[in-house]
Amino acid sequence: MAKEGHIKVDGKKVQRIDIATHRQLMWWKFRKNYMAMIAAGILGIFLIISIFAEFIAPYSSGLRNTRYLAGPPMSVHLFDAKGKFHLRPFIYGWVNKRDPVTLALIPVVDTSKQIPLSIFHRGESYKLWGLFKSNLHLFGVNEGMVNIFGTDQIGRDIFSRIMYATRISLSVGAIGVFFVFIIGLLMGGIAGYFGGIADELIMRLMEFLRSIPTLPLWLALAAALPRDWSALKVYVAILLILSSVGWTNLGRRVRSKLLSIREDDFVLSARLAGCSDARIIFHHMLPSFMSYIIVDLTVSFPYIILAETALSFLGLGLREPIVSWGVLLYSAQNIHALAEIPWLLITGLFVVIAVLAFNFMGDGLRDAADPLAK
Amino acid sequence: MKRNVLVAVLSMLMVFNLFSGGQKEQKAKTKQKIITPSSYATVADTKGIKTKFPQQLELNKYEKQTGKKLTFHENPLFAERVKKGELPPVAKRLPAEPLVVLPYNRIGKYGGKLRGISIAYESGDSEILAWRQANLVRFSDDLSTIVPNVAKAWKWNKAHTEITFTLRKGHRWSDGAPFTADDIVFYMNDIMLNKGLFKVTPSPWGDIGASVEKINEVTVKFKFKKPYMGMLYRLAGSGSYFDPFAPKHFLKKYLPKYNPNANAEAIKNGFDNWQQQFGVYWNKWKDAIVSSPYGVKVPTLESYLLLKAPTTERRVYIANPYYFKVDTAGNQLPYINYQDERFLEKQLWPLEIMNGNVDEKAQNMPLNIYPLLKKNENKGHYTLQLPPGMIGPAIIFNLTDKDPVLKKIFGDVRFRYAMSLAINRDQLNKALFLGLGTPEQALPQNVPYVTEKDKKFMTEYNPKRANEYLDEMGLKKGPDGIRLRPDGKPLTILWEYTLQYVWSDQFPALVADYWRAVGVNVILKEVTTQLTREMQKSNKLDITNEWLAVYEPAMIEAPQRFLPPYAAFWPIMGLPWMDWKNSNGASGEEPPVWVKRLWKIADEWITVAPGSARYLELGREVIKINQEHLVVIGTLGKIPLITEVSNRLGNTPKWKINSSSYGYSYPYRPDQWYIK
Repeated sequence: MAKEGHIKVDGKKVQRIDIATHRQLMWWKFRKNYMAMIAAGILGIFLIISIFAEFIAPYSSGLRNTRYLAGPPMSVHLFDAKGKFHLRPFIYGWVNKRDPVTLALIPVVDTSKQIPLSIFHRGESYKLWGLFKSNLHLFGVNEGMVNIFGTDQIGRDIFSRIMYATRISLSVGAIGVFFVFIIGLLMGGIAGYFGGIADELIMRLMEFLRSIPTLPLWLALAAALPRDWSALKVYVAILLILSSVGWTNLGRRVRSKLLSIREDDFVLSARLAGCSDARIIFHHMLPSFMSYIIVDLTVSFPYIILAETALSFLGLGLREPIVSWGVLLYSAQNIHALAEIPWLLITGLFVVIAVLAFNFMGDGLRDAADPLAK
Repeated sequence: MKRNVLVAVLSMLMVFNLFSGGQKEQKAKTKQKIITPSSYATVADTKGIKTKFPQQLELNKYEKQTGKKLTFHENPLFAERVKKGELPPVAKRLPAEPLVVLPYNRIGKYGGKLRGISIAYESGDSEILAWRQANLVRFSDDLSTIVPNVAKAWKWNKAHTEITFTLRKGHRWSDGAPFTADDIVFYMNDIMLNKGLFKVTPSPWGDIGASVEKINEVTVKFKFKKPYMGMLYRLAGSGSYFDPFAPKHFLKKYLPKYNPNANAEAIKNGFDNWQQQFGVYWNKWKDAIVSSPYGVKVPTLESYLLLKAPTTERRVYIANPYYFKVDTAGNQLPYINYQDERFLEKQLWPLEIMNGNVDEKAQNMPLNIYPLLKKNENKGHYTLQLPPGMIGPAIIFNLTDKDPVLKKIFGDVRFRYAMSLAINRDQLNKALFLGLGTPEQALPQNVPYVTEKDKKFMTEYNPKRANEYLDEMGLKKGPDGIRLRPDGKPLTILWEYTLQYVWSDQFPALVADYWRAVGVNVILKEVTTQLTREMQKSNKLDITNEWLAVYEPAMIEAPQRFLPPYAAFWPIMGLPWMDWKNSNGASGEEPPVWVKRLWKIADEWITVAPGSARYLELGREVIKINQEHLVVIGTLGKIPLITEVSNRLGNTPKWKINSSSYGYSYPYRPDQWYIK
């Protein structure tokens, strides 16, 4: 930490590390972990995608390119067939034709036709977050459609679908983690602070929940959803299901921490000062180990995302027209799709990157949470 | 669900194999042994043999033409058992008058194992179950001539109220017991007309008041209260699943009439009553018997019998040593020793086929795997055929929906017209059916009373007109573009589909898209076929898709798929109407006039001669009523059924049509296929 150097305080030369706040120490430690920094950057990009999905995706998730079904990704070029450089990136004209023998759709590239990509393209209109009407997209083309990740069997743009799916999957993670946070804090807090019969009951409940194999439990709960629920209702229900089984880890952590600091001097003084139980828990005890909780939550993010993906992949989670990573992967699970339309698997890449990024960032945060450890 | 995971993982693993091309290329076994001198008649080279019915003739006629007595040969598979005395020699096992069939290309070779696939033993996608049939008569591969089979000959009386069948002398069940006229009388009197088994005599026998009379051991007469012209079509077509005979010597011990202790014995054996015990050895739906371990014991006339109890993985059949057909060289059929049917998840079928592990598969093959299979034809050592046999998925709204508001909406024909017009069939065809289909309504195939105009009725893509119909009905669009029901709720339909009937997830996805575009919201949910059938039986679905292309013989037999409940086996739609009909109006719901008219037509239908003026008139009326009310909304017609045939299989023809109406590959005589 000496690297952080010296500064002058009141005319005295002191080491910065000696007067740094805890938050500063954490940040210093965190930024030294390059993997964590990269992961944080990637998650930042994911966050932007989630927030501005409508803007970044050139099309809505249901729009079909009827002239380009099951089409492979269109490549974006700067040099044309003659090797001439174009400042404005362009795509060639792509259509697909049917192979007379195998009857498969085969892409045909018309290199004589160059369609320039336009940035900040005015295209399909949408309502950002359901509020602001707009038709501005990050990019687009004036002629036909651009499908940089290809299209699925019925011609929907995979890139756009992945953008929307990223929003849904990450929001499942975020909202799921939020619920986990609330339930975990509440249950763990009650168990740890009050002890006695409340502790017994909550701990047994936790053990019970943890002893149930998760996959069959999700399946049973997901299958129990009424059959006529709309996709949105299912979405909320899946969130509740995932967090209702996912809180136990955090609950346990909170309980043990509370138990260990319950008898500390600062808690005793707070109690003597006449603080209410709630105030003692939420204002005095919880902040003292908040960093651990944040780390825990970061690590449980990928758990929830994977859980949703798995459920949807099995056809029990979210459903069209809501698209999540799991929903997209669901259509890629048969051999026919894998062999003929392998670009459906690009979604898998996003899942892997997101999960890894969360793990690396969680790792970095965990180290940073204890900044003075060597 | 667990299965799904497994499949997903497996297909992931296997796809790597696919890309890496890691599979050993199976060497094509192109060397063909000439098995016998080609001095025997085949379909390809008849050697001047003349036959009354296509591709087959009776022994005496054959011997008369060749001038030589035919000596019989048997499969070496049975030689051991004959030597030990467990089986009589082949000449004693064959009927005195075996049926002589002309193999397609050459005299086959005994031995081998035919490898098939299906989803599960009772799934209804196993062509092996379809082609092993042995009914009194069958369809020749021209799909129009009815030819002798178990019965040697038949004769109608003039009024078509009596038909006399002549059986084969010395014909035996697979356990060696004689098959005689008694087995047919037993079937009718002791099973069909047995009030202890059926309160209402099953169709068609009950509807036409059938009875059976034994003339002598090999002659039997069916009598009907009214003319039953469809009789032979029923036996030869899809009715081949319902043999009109049963092994009396085997079954009678389970009936109280023959065995006073039958009930007590049944209870001792762990059944509730004698009916239940009888039910495991005999079922109207023959496939039920070979789906249980009890089936091993039940004697049959079919080409193959169960070798052992079916498991969840496979069902194995062995050639029937008493099968009644021989080839022109006197070899007893079938040539192939075993049929091995493996049960596999549908997503794995293409892999198995591409790896050359399947000798024939067609039933329930999704069309969209054609490109994949075609590319691997050489590697997998098979050939694909594309005979017609399917139509695109059909959509049937539940006109007797439990939700009274939906019932009113679905019941309005303008709604059905609108839904049909909102579908972009050309796009569906291009996206999901390889462009092989033609936009068409769901109509009987290859019948004389359907016109091109009927086929095109309301099939054009016209969302404007669709919107007009819906507006006319008073279904106003809400702010989000979704129409509102009369009770103010958004018009939302729950579409629970099964891949078996919609072929792919994309079909409902696209159709729902089209419908949303005209303001009808659809919630999609994939479920299992078993579940949709359960829900159909309790009138719980908004939409069903369990409907298949119907060819003429199935239509002649009964136009069941064109009148409520629009189904052959499981009710599809109109359950409360059926209730009303069966209870004579005491319960259920009274159907509209056109439904009653359809039922009435059906009663008359089976009594008129196929091809007659009245037949055409009634056919037209059935089509007209159905078109006017558009109960079944069709999408595409003339869709082929991928038929995969291994190159190692000999004596296979070109499939003309591959449809359940003809028992799939049954007319193409799998009993004379052989392994090269």
